[in-house]
Amino acid sequence: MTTPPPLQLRNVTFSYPSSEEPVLRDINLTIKAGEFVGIVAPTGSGKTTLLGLLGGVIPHYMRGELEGEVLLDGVDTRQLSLPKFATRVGMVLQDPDSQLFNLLVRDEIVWGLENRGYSRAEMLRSLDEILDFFQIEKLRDRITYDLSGGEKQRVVMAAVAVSRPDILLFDNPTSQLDPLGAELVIESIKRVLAAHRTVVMVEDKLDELLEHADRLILLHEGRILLDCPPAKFVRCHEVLAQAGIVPSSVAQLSLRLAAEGLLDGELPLTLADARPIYARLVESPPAPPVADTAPQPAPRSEAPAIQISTLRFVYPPPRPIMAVKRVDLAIERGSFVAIIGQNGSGKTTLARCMSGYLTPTEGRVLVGGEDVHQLKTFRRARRIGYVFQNPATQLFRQSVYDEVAFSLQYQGVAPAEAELRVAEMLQFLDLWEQRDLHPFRLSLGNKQRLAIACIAVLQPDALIVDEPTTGQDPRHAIAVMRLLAGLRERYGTTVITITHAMQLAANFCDRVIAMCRGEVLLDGRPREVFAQSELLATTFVKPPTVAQLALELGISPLPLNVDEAVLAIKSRAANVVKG
Amino acid sequence: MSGIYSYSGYETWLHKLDPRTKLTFTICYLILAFVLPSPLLIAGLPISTPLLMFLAMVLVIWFVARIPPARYLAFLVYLIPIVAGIAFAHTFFLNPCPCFAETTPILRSASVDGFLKGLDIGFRIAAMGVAFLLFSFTTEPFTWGLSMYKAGLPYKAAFMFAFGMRFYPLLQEEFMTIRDALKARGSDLLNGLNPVRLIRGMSITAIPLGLGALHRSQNIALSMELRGFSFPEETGVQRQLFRDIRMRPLDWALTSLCLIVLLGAIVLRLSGFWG
Repeated sequence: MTTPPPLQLRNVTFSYPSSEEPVLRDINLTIKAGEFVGIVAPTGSGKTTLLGLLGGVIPHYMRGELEGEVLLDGVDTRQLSLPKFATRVGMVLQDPDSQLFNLLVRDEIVWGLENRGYSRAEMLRSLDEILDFFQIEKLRDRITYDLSGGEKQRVVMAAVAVSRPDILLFDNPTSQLDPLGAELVIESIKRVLAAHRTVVMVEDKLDELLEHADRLILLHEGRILLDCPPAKFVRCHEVLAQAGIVPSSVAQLSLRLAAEGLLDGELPLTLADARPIYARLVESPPAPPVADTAPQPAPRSEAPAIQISTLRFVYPPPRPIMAVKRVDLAIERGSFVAIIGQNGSGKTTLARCMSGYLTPTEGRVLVGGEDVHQLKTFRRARRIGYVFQNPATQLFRQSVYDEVAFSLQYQGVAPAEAELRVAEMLQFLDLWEQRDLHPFRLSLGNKQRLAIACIAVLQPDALIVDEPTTGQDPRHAIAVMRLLAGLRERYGTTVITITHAMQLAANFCDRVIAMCRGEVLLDGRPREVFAQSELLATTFVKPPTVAQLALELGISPLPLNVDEAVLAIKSRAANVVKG
Repeated sequence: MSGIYSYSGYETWLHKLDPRTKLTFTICYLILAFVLPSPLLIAGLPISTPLLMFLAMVLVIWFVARIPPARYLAFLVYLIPIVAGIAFAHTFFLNPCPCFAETTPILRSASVDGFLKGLDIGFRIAAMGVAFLLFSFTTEPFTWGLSMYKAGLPYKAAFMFAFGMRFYPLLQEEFMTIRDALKARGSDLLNGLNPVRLIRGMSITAIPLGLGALHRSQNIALSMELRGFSFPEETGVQRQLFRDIRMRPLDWALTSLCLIVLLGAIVLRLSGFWG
């Protein structure tokens, strides 16, 4: 008798009670033992629902109309309870904060074992083993809410894996983490894979899946469009483009060079695979410099938009951390600035001091020549805007139109002018058609646009946007950055974004400020900053993948995107042929 | 960001006491605030006993638990209108004899005894508030929950209570973000002490705060189920506890001392020793 696969979906169609159309349609999927399956899907295509079905959350925790069969070891999951299901299948969700409910790490990890009736001795042994497995022994006695994002997610993984489920499901485990946190989590997932567990992972960062997955599944509008190995997956350009999936930079580069006839055979899809193949391709003296197509810095005006002088900020007790040590900066009008650095490097504290939310321990911030901390709230809002990371915490009204109009309520703007400004902003951001909808009915991407619209309608001199692309799929992330660039172009707004998305910073910003331990580590044009990869490593930042590859290959000037890299490599490869 | 109800995480001997000892101390302290006579005559000067108890508790939190008043300054500031309001009400609602002065009708209807009595009651409430702070600052919510479980509360109820204490600072943090988001729109509705503006501000923030809390609590509930929260009920398996709490000699000594002091004060009060 053959052993049934651990997880199988047969002709599954699923609808939520509130949805008019099925979220998933006619899904057939088999997950084999020991396999690593990656699920790639744009926002809103049913990936979390699919993971919910695989994890038993549907139909046991979330209800809806389920047609077809979901089988765990050949048994219909309708016949199993969620607690029993969870002993075989562990699930790690997106937001680590929602998965930590104990105060201390050790209590968090053994909590699931307590519920399953393990003896104290077994719990102690399992705790030590799992701490060692994920290399987090030093976190054992720490308070969970004091941990960094990456540490939290690793603790969650340990807490799920400690009861030894055979199958682990991950729902975008790195989407809310900084690069260091994401790297630590990926390392931990590699350990899980090395232990021959079955892994299914939904992930927006295609690079990670291309490197490790046995099979990739493309889900779009509730249907499986692709189910194949990574090498075949990235070659399906048209299907990927139809679903709005942006392949990883290395994959894009390889495909482009293959199309130019410079690469053949199996294409390198990851940085590790690309190094030796590309090194052979560019074994020649450097070619003449590539034309610099990166955004140019704004022309210098006499007075900067923001002037920061000897700024220092220390958080009050009980954790008196010096978050910003001493920062002097001048940000030119109309520039588009990215502030980068690992979590805890002082980026957000600096931005909050700039916007007036935090009063610096020392130093001052001038916005448009005025001390931002001396301004009344309503005047400050016109000088400098701040868009927070989570749009849901910034929406208060009953319709999209009222939401934007609400911002003008405190500015004494005449009703006729307010109407004009709201209409103009909604049209500019493509939200006019949705003006009567409740803000919470918008998609995540549109909520983010609306949050930006609410601040941009005030026409502030400068706009700070805190991690606008976190938690968004690559297509939406690009759309948000385009929108910010559009605001700068149309209104001359100085835009400052705090970001972990290096490729987007390289593509859209004209200045990058790298923070490390409360100080400015690097400050310059993207090409200059990303060329300093060794210095950047001290704040756990890696240049965009294409730039990393170019640095390793000694290509100069540094290409920052696929187009520039194709030109540079073509030129070097041409030299090889001529030589 | 840590809020008023969050555990401070320091490791003083006060933190290490069993929660039941601290609970006994808190209850005895609260009863004493009402049993002890007030005012006390110190060097011939009448001093409000609840005020002394309030100040003593602030000093204990500061020097024994190592948490300076700056940490809970907002809480202390909010106590001012409460104490003042109670004192004001008593000043004008009790018999104005003796009154403050005969010069104006308002001062003629203002009772000196009422004012002092009002201050006493106000500081009793303030003392109760800081006693609760001492408990919450020094008691890890989960040992608190554990002590309730040991006292016979069902595990799920005790755990959810403890988790609620852990959840509160998260909500407080979210509230701060929403307040800053309002400021970014030029609104000062959640700043200052104007109650009308505050109420308006609160009503505006109710939607994002409520939806955020709902969303978060749904995710948390799901994560808990995925980690077997209902496993014992579903399968009949006996839940085991990794951590245990037990009363040490110091706990017994302090609990006994608290009860003796309380009993002594009640006896003295009932015997008419304090008049």
